Amino acid sequence: MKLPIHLAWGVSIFIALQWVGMVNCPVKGPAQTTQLHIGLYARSITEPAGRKDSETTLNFLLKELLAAAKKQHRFNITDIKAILFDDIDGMRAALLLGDLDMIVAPPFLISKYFKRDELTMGFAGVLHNGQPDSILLIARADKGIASVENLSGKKILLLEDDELTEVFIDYLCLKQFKKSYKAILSAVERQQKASHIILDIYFNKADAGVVFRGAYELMAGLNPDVAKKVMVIESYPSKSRNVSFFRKDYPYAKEILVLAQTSFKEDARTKQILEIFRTSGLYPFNVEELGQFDEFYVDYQKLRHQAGLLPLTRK
Amino acid sequence: MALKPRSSIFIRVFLLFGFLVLGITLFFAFMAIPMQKNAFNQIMFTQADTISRSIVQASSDAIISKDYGFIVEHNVEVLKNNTRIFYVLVSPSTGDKILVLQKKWRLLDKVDAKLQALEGDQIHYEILSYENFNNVYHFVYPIKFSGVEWGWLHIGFSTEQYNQSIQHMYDQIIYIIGISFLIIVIVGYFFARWIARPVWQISQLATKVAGGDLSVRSTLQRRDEIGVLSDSFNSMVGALLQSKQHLQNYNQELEREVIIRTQELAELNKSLDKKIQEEVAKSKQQEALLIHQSRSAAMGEMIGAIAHQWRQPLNALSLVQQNLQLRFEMGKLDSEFMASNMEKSSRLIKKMSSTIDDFRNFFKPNKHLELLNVQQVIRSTIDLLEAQLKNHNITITLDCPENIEIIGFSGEFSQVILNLINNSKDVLIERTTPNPTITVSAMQNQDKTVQVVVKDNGGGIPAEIFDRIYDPYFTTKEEGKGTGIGLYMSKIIIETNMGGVLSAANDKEGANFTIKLKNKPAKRLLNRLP
Repeated sequence: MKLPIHLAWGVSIFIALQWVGMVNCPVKGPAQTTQLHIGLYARSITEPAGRKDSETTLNFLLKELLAAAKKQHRFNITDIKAILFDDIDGMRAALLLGDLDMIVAPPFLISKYFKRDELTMGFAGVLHNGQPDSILLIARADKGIASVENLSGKKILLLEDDELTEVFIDYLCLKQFKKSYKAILSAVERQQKASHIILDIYFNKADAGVVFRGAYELMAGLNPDVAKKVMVIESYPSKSRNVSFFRKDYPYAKEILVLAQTSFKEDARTKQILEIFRTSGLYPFNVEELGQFDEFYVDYQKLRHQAGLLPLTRK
Repeated sequence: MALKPRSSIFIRVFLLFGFLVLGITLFFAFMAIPMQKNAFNQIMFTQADTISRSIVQASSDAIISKDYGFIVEHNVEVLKNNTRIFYVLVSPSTGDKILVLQKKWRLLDKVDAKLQALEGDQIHYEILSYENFNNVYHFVYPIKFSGVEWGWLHIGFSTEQYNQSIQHMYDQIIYIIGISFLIIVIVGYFFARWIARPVWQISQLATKVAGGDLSVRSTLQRRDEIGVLSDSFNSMVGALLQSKQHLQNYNQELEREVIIRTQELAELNKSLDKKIQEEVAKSKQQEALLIHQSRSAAMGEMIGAIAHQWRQPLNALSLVQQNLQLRFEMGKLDSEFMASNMEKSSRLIKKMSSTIDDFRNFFKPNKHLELLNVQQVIRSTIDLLEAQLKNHNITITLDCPENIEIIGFSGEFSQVILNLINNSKDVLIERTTPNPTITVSAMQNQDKTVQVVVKDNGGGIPAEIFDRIYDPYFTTKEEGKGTGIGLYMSKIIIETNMGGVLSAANDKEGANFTIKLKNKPAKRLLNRLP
């Protein structure tokens, strides 16, 4: 069965839940019943598979794991469910209504659309070498693009439905050229997968692109010639493409976080799953760390203003 | 007595069962190997074909639009999700080739020559080594769109699973054979025991029965042939016991009967001895009587012969007497005539006297062996019969050298010659044979045996009576003319008393009776010489 990236989140969370059950239930006596509804931003997680397939697979896997966890740890989360959202506003509404206990979405969108007091603690995945999954501006080496200033008139590839990467290239162009990237670049095309962007640049179908470091390193690892022909021009230290947060007052949030941080490293299956996605582990991610994206967005708005562009709206 | 069998049914059944089951198992196992290998090959081919079609179908747009990024990405995913694939080589007819391996990929200027050799119009596969992978199931799939040859898709599959399947199959075969062997040992043991044990039991019981113990019984209770055998065995032993008892009773009865019979036999023996003695005595009497009859008959014949013999001299004497009387009446009786007639009368009387001597010699009770001149004995016998034969115009000739001698009883030998001549005479007279002739010849053979043949021309002995001519009291003569003991006694005399052989045969003229006598008689006869 194909295991898309969002399942890593689900599986990781669920393994953590198993640990919670194992730790809590025997000590506390009678098992408590609760729910864990996970909301996932579909546009950022359905990269390898279809939306509906991802949701079905994730729910199936979560329920199967829940049944196993119940037997082993008297873990009484009786209702576990993964819900995909195409609309970030809808996901926020569900969280506020208590229909969701956890959200998984790009940090830039969470910083942009969620208030800080609606959330509490969360996870962020990091790359194999411990580096954050940064956003990279890459370009083909033989195209003479050594910096942003060489982008003028070039064809660039961007990730589809990824607001941060678009803001990032726009930020760079505004900063360098005082103009939006649409006015600087000769052509802008969207690709669903970052790896595809890298390969298109490698095969000379585009001049530059914006991707995540994880994808770049993955492709460079598969073919070292990619790293030679496709160079990194700029980067933005985004922690991860997706981060997760529990809703405020979710009772097991702290325990799940602790277990995810400690036990995941010991669990062979978890490590195997994370290895597939070039993620060595899940680390706690505080709500306060969203401030980096707030600041970046503020700077971006300023640059837009300086370039005479209308500011983007934000909740 | 315990009988030890030369071979065991148990062992034979066990081995037969074992070899049979093992043989069938091995046969099917080794029949399955090529089929299974073929099936695995087919599976490999089908999988390779399916994956190739899937890759080409998924990448068709990318291939047409030369979206090599998609091709790489798709094949990386394919390899990531299928660890059995070592590599995928996308080989367009022109341009760079894309080699995708597990966790890496690269562009190639050209395809390896050995792989290029596999690129053709049709699907091709081969086991080869490539990119440090050994025993790769290399599958080459030609990529065509609308009849246009775009290139080839090379996929290298791991044969590990195939090998594992083959190994697994071998393991299973070994396992099955092992299990079969175990089953053979266990089931074979019980099966052989099931077959052999009742047979062994019945065999043991039969051995006891053979040893005389009829009290044994089979306790086997089965519904098959063994059960029937057991029942039959019990019935047979019961019947044997009953027969034995009957036999014992019968033996006892027999023993009693034997005792009675023995007593009766003893008594019978006593009376039998007596009877035998009586019969012997009677037989001797009969024999003596027979001899007496024979002698009497011969005497009668002889008297007849003498009568004929005397008739002529008596007539002569009568004539002499008449002449004497006539001369006397005529007064011419002189001394010379008287002397002449007296001499003539004397001669006739002498002749008659000689006849009497011959007769007396013939019948004298001479029981001593003596050296006989065959010619003399035969001549004197013929002389006795000569007148009688002349009377019937029968010519008798004697052909016998003078010097032939034999040892025997002269009276008995004469009697034999007399019987044979008389028989010939009677036949010649009875059959009124023209020119009746009797020839008596004697000769000495080179082996010193003496042969005497009495031959006539009377037509011979009829075939229907040939075997009976020596039987006592058998005769073809009219009643009162023959006694039927002549030839019988002649045979007894020649063969028993003189150690010779008397045989009869016919020739074209008549009967031939041949007497063969040894020149030197047997020792037992010589001992009887005076």
